[in-house]
Amino acid sequence: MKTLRTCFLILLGMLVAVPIAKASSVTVNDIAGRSVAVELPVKRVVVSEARYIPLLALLRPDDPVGGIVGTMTPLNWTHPELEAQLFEQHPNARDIPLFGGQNKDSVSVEKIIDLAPELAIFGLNDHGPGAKNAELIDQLTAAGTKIVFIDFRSDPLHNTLPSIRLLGRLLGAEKRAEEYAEFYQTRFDRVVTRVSQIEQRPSVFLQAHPGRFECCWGMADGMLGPFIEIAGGANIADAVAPGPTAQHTAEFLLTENPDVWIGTASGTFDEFTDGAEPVALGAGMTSETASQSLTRYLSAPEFAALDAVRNGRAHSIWHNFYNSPFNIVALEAFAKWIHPEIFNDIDPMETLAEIYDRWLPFELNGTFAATVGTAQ
Amino acid sequence: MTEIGATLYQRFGSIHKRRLVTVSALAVGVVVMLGLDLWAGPAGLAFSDIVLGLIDPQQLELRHRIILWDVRLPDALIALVVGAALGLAGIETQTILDNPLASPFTLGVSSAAVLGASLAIVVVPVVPFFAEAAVLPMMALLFALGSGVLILMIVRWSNGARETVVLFGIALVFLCNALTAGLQYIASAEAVQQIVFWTIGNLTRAGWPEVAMVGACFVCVLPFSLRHVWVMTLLRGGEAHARSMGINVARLRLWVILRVSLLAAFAVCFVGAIGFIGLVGPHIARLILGEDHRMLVPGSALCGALILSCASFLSKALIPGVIIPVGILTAVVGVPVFLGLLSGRRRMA
Repeated sequence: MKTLRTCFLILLGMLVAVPIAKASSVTVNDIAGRSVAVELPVKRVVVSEARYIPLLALLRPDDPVGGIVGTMTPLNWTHPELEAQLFEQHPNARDIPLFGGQNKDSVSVEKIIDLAPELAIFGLNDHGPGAKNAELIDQLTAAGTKIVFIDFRSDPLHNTLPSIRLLGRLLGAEKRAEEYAEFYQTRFDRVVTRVSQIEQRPSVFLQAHPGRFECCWGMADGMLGPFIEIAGGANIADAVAPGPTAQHTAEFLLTENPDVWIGTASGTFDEFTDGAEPVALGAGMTSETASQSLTRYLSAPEFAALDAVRNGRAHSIWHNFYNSPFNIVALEAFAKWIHPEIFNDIDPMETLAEIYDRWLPFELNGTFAATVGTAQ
Repeated sequence: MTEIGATLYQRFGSIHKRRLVTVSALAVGVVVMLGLDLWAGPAGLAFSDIVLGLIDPQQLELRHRIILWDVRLPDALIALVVGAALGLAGIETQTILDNPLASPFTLGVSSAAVLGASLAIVVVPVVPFFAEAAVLPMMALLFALGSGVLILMIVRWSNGARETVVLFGIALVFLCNALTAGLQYIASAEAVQQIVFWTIGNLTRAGWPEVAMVGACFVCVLPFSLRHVWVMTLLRGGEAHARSMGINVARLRLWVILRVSLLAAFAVCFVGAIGFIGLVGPHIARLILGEDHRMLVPGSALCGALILSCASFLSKALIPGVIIPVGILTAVVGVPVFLGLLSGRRRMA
């Protein structure tokens, strides 16, 4: 009888102790500067933009969408090529409910509450609900959902690694997050160290969405703009623009005549084959077609007269690097283009391949950077 | 009696002369503004270089030649022709509908153009034999003309009842806006941004072909407007009065709205919905020129051109190197001028 009672007590103790030992509460500071207490492990998660799924895959390659009970947008809006691979590997990813359309106004709070997530991962300033969306934050908090904000878009220079580490901590993937952060930091530092020795900063114009937006929206101190300075260039848009981005005339470009021109290509393979104007990169594009697409855009007289174009120093970079944990690839590409003399040994595409190889459960397919006039 | 008649005649002559001088002054103002607009820009071209480059482009180095001929000139000229077209369309709409709040935009023409442009941006239709860049203005033009056709049908159907026309126009505005909002709702963030930029209105998207097309439309329509200046002046005395003088107002309304739709459709389809000019250009012209359409029609076109040219100058000059969309500035430029004239008139009264 005594033994039985002891056994029972021990069992009871285990029942109580096991959850206590496993479940723990952590308090984290998110990128919006909010202090959030989250119960670990987190079992039900919603994400604003599905473009963060590659990051989730980086942290948890075996189960990229594990615990994801809803996203605002489907992955195919930014990464159709990855969605196909994801669906093949994890057919259940097809059934993840959507709780909105393309922007924050389309978000259904009721749907999110209905999905009963423990954690909601939103972007500080992406197309989903932002940190200023007090009503939605209050409603979700009241419904028992913790919200954390990450950011790869407003200030990628300072927020990229903290965002990755934050998610690593919350999703039980601290080690992988740390490994990737180290990989990222090493490459970042290499650029910074070498740039510290340069004497001249070539002038650079970084144009957003060439061919999609009319001429010429420059990234100044927002989005990828600050990467130009880190990569050792002088961002000519930053000197005049009153905000993070601004529209400039072709005359501004011709007058400043930047040494290097870089466009963030948002065109797709389909648009390219349709003969559409947006400069195209990404899945389906070869280095040949990517360069053709860029060269075609830059053949307009106002671009053709630029020294950057004539000297083969006009390039395109995949637009989606701008809101991505893989933006280190863009930084390396900028550095190599702005200072080919000191970054000749660096191959940004090799860095991208290594990211896919080491961290992602997906195949890399497509071309993500191109240079004018290199197609045959 | 004859003495009074002679005095009246003299007085009318002097008023007419003064108005002629005012119109000429407006024309000179437009030329001066064109010069300023051509001179503004970050390249810092000297005025003599600009004149030289206009006379003999080969004198300029390649980059300056492109700046003058491919960047500044088309933008400056499209400001003039679009401004003139909207000014002309505005005065004709206000007179024919006898409504000071009417403009080509209350007829739904620009909202329809925005809807067409949004559709082109969101759906990206591939049209055979058409360059992709030409599809957007073409869709905007088609929708604007389509709305014009609808309005014309209403004019015919209602036998030219002006309230019906105005109400239908406003209903069309709301419908087009709702459909555009619906498109924005399903569109990607980039597409929404594009629609917003397009709607604000910007002159930099225009090149020589656009200048030629809007210019041709204006030149083709102007003679017909000038032919109607007498009856339009008569109409200002009231519709009943005009009818009693034997004018077929319903028929006149049909012709004028056809002209207005054409002008507004061509004006907005390339540069976006620059709305304010069609409303305030005619009012400014009326304040300084009176009701005589012989002066008012050219005067209103000149006022429109002057305001848009001034806005174009400011859009480049306010923040050197950066373009402020001209659609934002038209109201900023036009409202103070308008208010100044209004208060001047109050003081005189």
